[in-house]
Amino acid sequence: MNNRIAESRKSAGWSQEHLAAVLGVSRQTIIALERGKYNPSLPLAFRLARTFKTTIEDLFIFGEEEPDE
Amino acid sequence: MKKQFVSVIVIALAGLAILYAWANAVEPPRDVLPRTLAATVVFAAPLAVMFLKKRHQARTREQAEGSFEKDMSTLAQSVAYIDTLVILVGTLAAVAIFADSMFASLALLLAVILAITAFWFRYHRAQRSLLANKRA
Repeated sequence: MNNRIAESRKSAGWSQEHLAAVLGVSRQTIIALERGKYNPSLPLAFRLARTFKTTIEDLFIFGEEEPDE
Repeated sequence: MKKQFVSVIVIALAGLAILYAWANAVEPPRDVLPRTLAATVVFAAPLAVMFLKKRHQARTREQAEGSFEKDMSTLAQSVAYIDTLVILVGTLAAVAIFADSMFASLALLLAVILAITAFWFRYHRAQRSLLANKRA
């Protein structure tokens, strides 16, 4: 799933390490999220949206993915 | 919580297996001081390793809720738990066959190594699976 995490983080002038500390997760998690290789849990998605003062819908771009079986 | 409890049991069994193998491999010291020192080393070493691991995890927030390393650990534990059960049953059979011989101790040691290897194998499979955006 694509997202605007990197864009939002850079707009805020934060490093990946800082965002990781704010969210209370590892830096590897931020890297994986920004690359769109890891889908966050719902609580983390809410924390991300609140941190950037936006909504989950604005932060994450839900594409035409095939649902997992 | 249940999985954590099972993990503690498995780690405790692994520790006992190491102690058993060690006790069979060396001549126990007779004096009080060497015995105390030996016991301290045997019990303190795993505790020190666990303490360092916990400190590292707290620093990197690897086991924090939401971190993908925690997701991988949970997935790996779920599958490695079954692997460990199979390994333990196999070990029990080996110990029954090789009772009172050095091979029984070696079988226990092998069981510990296999259980740890199984976890890491599952961890890396979970990592590949998660990073490919597929739930295992």
